[in-house]
Amino acid sequence: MFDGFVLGLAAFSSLAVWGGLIAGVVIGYVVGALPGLTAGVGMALLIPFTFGLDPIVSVVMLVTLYMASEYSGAIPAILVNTPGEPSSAITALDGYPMRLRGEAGHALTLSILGSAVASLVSTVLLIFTVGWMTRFALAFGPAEYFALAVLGLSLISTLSGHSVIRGFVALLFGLILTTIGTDPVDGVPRFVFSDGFLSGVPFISALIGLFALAEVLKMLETTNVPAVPLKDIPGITGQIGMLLPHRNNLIRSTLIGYVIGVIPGAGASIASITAYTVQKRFSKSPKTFGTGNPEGVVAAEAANNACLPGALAPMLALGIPGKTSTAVLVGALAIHGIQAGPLIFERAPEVPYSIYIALLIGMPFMVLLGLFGVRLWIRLTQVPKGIIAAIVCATCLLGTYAEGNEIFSIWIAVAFGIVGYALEKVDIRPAPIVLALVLGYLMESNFRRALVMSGDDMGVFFSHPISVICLVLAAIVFVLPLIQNIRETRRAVTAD
Amino acid sequence: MSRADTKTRLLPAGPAPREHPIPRADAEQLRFRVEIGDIAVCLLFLAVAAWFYVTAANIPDYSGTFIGPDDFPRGLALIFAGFSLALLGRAVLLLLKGGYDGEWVLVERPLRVAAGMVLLALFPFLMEHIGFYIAMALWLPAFFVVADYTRPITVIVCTATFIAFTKVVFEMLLGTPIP
Repeated sequence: MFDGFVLGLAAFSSLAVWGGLIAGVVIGYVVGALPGLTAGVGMALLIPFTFGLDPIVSVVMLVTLYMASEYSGAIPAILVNTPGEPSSAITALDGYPMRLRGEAGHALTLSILGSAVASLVSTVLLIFTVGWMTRFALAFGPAEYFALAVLGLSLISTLSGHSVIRGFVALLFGLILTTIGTDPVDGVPRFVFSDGFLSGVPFISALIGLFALAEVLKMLETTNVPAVPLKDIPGITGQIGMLLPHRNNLIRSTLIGYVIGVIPGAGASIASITAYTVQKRFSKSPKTFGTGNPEGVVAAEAANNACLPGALAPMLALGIPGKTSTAVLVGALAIHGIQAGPLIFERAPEVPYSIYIALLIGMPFMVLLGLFGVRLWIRLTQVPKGIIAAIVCATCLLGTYAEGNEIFSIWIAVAFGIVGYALEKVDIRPAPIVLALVLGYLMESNFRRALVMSGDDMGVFFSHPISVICLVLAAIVFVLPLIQNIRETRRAVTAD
Repeated sequence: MSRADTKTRLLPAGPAPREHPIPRADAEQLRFRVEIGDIAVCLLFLAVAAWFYVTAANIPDYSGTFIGPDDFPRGLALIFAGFSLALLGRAVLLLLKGGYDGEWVLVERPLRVAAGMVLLALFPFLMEHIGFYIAMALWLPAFFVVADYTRPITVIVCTATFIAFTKVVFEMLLGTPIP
């Protein structure tokens, strides 16, 4: 390991590598902040520019772009309720209400510092546990994935807010939408009344519609109301101190993000949702989640940023790209004749160690850019609402188109925007719908695959240890909040 | 804990206690009981569930397994319909009950919201027929007006800047094929 680090550090003696690192951070910052442009898309778009570069420069640039875009997705999520990255949708649940109270600076500071610490800790975990975590990831078969999806969906009883039935209705609405598209096992089209639905309901478009366009419609109701005055944010030292009360939350969410990141296909959105819900369970003020609780911002941001180094573990050690972004990275390495997988540590050790060092060194750059940027970003909240509504709406429509290069995606975003606005009016929140859109396909496809592989034996879900643990946890996570709710109700009745 | 809080907890999906006087509807405001909204949404959801259930019957099943491609959506449609019916039934019961102390759905400036929805739906149509740049040049100023911002210089500058940003960043740098 020491020799590998020496090789990696030697690579950083080149100015070109430093240039790649800074360019990656800056481009990632912009890509993440633009709704519709995900880290994977940004990396794919950058690849043609890296053909002529040294492999280390291109890998460092792509990895830092990935890292910065995961963070900067929180900026529009907090400022205008528009998730720049899908996983930032969870950050918006509390970040945006904070901004409405004039606490945009506080929310942005927590998001950058939470992201930074989580990313650093997660990178250190990656360096020391890459081998173990890879074996853990390999233990996941269809039964385990199904159980993981059920565990994720069981969070509904915590995410529902004050009305469980509305939460369920929203979840089922999202779940039924995930059955649209080509069947995951037999390949037959289901409910495909337009070719655009062949690969399912476009997730990014749905997300932009549910959060951003619905928010724009809400803004139209209050464009005549002046902006909330900004609350002061302290200097840089004071900003760093803001994170101290959240250290336990940060550690928990980082670990959740890292472990979920390792599992191929699980992703930052699942990590954010899980960490958010776990924090809600541990919080002393769980009822304020969704109304601007800073703990929610820290949990979501720490988890989705900790996910990134986790996702690199199976990619580096096995060559398995668990996500679009890591798939692009595998492709970028292949272009330079480097094969990701077990032999990379022997044949090109400077590559994985350069990635580790890039993550460790790139983070301070990102923090500086983020902390100084906070003062600029919060000024945006003082711009008249009419301008913000129009520009956000136009950016979302453009971003939605750019994500799939088809007008169909815009139709979907518009439809989800109008439906999302109408549903919010009757207190049906977007979070359960997003939970379903993230997990529905994972649940159905792996449920059926597990049954096919076991010859229709339902016992398959109870014969694998990881699957059993996840299902038991799911039952606890689902039932516990309901029982607590009933107990509180009874206690309240008695007290009354 | 107050009696009002207790009441909300006893009926988890029920109306929250009214903390403010019943809001008055005026020309700039649309107001209706949340149960009316629930009924409308549930009827829509029931129609969606029915459509999924019926259409699933046409999905060919070559799998030969216990759960085929049509079973999952059918099962989900049934559960979805069940929960929607439960919410619908609850809303109808509350609506039939005399006196009202519950939540109201308030839509401020409904005409602007409706105009915003129309403009949103109009954009992809315009983009398909006259191309992105001309569509945006027409659409964005219109949206500014709907969003209550009418300073002509700012509107023109913002529209021009946004179009230039699209051209430089998306079309030239990122290579997005803008129609």
